[in-house]
Amino acid sequence: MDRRDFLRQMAMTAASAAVVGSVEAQRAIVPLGTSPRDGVTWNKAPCRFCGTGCHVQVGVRQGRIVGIQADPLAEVNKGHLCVKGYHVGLAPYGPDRLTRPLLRRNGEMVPISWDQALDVIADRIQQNPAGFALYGSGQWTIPEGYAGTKFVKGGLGTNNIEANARLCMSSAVTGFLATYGVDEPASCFDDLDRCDVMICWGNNPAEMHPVLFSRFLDRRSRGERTTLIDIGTRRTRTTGFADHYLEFKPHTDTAIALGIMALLVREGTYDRQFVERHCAFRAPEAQNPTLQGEAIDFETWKSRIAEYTPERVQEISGVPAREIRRLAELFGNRDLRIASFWCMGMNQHTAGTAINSLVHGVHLLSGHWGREGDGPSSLTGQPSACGTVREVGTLVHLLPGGLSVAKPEHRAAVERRWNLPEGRISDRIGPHTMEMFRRFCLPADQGGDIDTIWVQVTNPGQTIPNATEYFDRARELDGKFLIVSDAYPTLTTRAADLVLPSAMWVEKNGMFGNSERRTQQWFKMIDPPGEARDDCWQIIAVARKLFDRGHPGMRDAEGKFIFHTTDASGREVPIWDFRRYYDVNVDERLFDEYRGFSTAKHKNLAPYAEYVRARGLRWPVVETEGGAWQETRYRFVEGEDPFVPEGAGFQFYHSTSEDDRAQIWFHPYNPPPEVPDDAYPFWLCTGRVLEHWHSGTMTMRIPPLRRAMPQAYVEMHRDDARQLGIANGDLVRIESRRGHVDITAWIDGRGQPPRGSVFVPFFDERLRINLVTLHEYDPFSKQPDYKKCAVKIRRAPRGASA
Amino acid sequence: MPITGAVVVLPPSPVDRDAVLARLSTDARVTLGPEAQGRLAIVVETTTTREGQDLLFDVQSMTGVGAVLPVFHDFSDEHPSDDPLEE
Repeated sequence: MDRRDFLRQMAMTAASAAVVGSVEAQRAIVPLGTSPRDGVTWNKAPCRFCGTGCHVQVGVRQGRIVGIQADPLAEVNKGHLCVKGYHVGLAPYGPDRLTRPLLRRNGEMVPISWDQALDVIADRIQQNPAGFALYGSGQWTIPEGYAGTKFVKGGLGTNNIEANARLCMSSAVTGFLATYGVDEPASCFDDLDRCDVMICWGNNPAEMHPVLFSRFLDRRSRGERTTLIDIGTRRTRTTGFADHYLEFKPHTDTAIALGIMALLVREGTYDRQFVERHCAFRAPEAQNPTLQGEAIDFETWKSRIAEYTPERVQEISGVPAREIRRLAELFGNRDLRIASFWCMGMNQHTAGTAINSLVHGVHLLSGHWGREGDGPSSLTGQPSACGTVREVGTLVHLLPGGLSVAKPEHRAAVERRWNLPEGRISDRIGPHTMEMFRRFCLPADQGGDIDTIWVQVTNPGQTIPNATEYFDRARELDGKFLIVSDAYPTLTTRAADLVLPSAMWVEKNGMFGNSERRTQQWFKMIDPPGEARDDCWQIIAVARKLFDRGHPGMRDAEGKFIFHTTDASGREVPIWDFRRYYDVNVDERLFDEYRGFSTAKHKNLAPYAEYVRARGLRWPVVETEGGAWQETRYRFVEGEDPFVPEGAGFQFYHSTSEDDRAQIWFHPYNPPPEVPDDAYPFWLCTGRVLEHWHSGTMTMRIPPLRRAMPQAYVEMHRDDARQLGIANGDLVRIESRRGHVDITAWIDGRGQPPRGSVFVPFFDERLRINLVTLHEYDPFSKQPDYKKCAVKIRRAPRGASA
Repeated sequence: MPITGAVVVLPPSPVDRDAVLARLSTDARVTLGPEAQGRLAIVVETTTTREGQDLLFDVQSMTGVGAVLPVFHDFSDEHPSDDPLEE
């Protein structure tokens, strides 16, 4: 058998195992370790891309990734991958990796040494500590995010740390907090294998989470009877599999949820027993509304939702009244199991907190909650938006483990655990993402008090809405300084004053936390190119530079470096020296320190070593009497959640009403801040495509993916195009009150928006749609609305190019 | 020569399913594996990755196909760094 025969056999074994699905077949796949036949070493890692958290096995030979196979032992993907996932092994090998630190001098980027780069950052911080901010992402690994939080909050004594997850799932967070008093889904992906009805709320999992969607579709192939309901503003690939498609006018999903609840109450089909035992009712305060809201009784709540009759909802949303009745009938039938899933459609929404809370409310009111296949779940777009940003707390108002900057006892607890002097952690909540970039784009004498931003693992130059005002403007201002750590050149690195080359994915150790509370671990498998280095090391090295300069914040209460690390014999390891960084497993040290915070909100994590063995574990993970570590599938449910006592049935033990009840909210339907008018008559919606991940930094450098989807486009309705004299492939100008972009029209393409609406994906840096989008955000979550703004469309002027 | 292992989620309709099986079984680049519960294992061996990609997208777009799920990909002969970014 030659090597090709062997590879062919491996490919067939992997595919057969995925088809047959037996454990024996799965174990027949090449085990982790080195194959004597071809010298390829296989090791496990979560995929680098979305929040699904598929596990892959990465094949490495002679220091280079040569193969990827879906991990058949991973519960999330069960031996499957999507088109992005199976190309993930090519992500590190684009032709233009950043390999040296670069500093802008007289307009030119010139190579400098790492030590010079660290000095530049330390200078900027010492010049104006309060004006420095660290901006990361849901692609930060858990230890990276933890190091960033400790550096900023425990070291610099500010709270100026944010992450791009603010832009993608913070409304999901506020929805969970408002409803359950604690963040993150109570249910898990197992719902896909068990639900009778799957409802997608403004969500296109066929393209955005294809592996999860295939788990649901597989059941149809096996002859199981399932129903898919797609509630959306445009037809997508998901619609093609739907039994019912409910097209609503942008922003009116709140009315749909209210309409379902109003009917459940009117018809008496809500779950009275569940509600009376486990729920309370809330509404926003009339003045200065908060996430806590005000308690109202059932009758008051009922009277407020009563106006949302099916006919009234039809008037607001455009969804026929009969469809609202159909949804209410489904939710009124407790013999069914109904799973709701959503992602950016409900989150990137100026009423994002409201719609998230209302969908939880629909499930609670109807009692479709807490059984396998029967509950609400939000999905995330990034691999560790949950594990890093939400759990570690890399946001201006959070501390590790879900603790809060606003609470003195929480700050004191963190100071104790970090061994910091009392009062080191500031009580001043820093500026959230949109406010941070707004201030960065203002002169110092006009409120622009943020003068230095260090960006890691994200690309705000492409992804911040209204990018002219919230990103580009800073380039025109003296005294502003942008530092960017990335693996590849991006629109953000091109605007930077200092660029730092970063290691990516399996070029470093890492841990992610996916959308179902699953914490995952991997080891470094290949070296990064040139002088590229771990983001976590970069943070620690800057902290050490400040320590060496005498910065008091970089010392703990005993004068030790805040990232003080010792070897097995107790001697300090200089992990700030990259040559020594891997002398110890820094990830393990940071994770096991961070793990101490995880019990604060019952998000208990296991020791690092457990994650080395597992394909991820869903928290809370608790140690059993036998010494094994047990994960949790369903929170707040007796028999599943170890913190729910026997006999309770369900217990919402972080309840905001402090009586173990979940909150069913009333939020009225309110119109969006910008709607189409005579001057700007179209809705613009933005989003993603199957082939590319987020801003395309990695996937546009993977040739098969780039060829499959080489550039962005605008989807528009055939009748609108005809009326405007636009043909398929024509270049059109999309213009809002904020900016314009010229882009190719795709009529009757993959997605089909209704008349008066267009869609543009945001992956293509050459066609920067966020020059056009709106900066308005949800008042609670501060998450901007990328899904709707008003634009006008016309053929592009002569000479324009896409 | 890239080699890819994949799972095709076959159409529930017998007519559509037969059309997909006919398409795959007559393509010399495709080796059919076991079929169970509406899912078919295949191995695709093409001259270039692009050709393999086109084939999988082509199958994905056939009526009723639920999904084409790649599970194994050997790209030891591929060098994306040789591929210019602008085409």
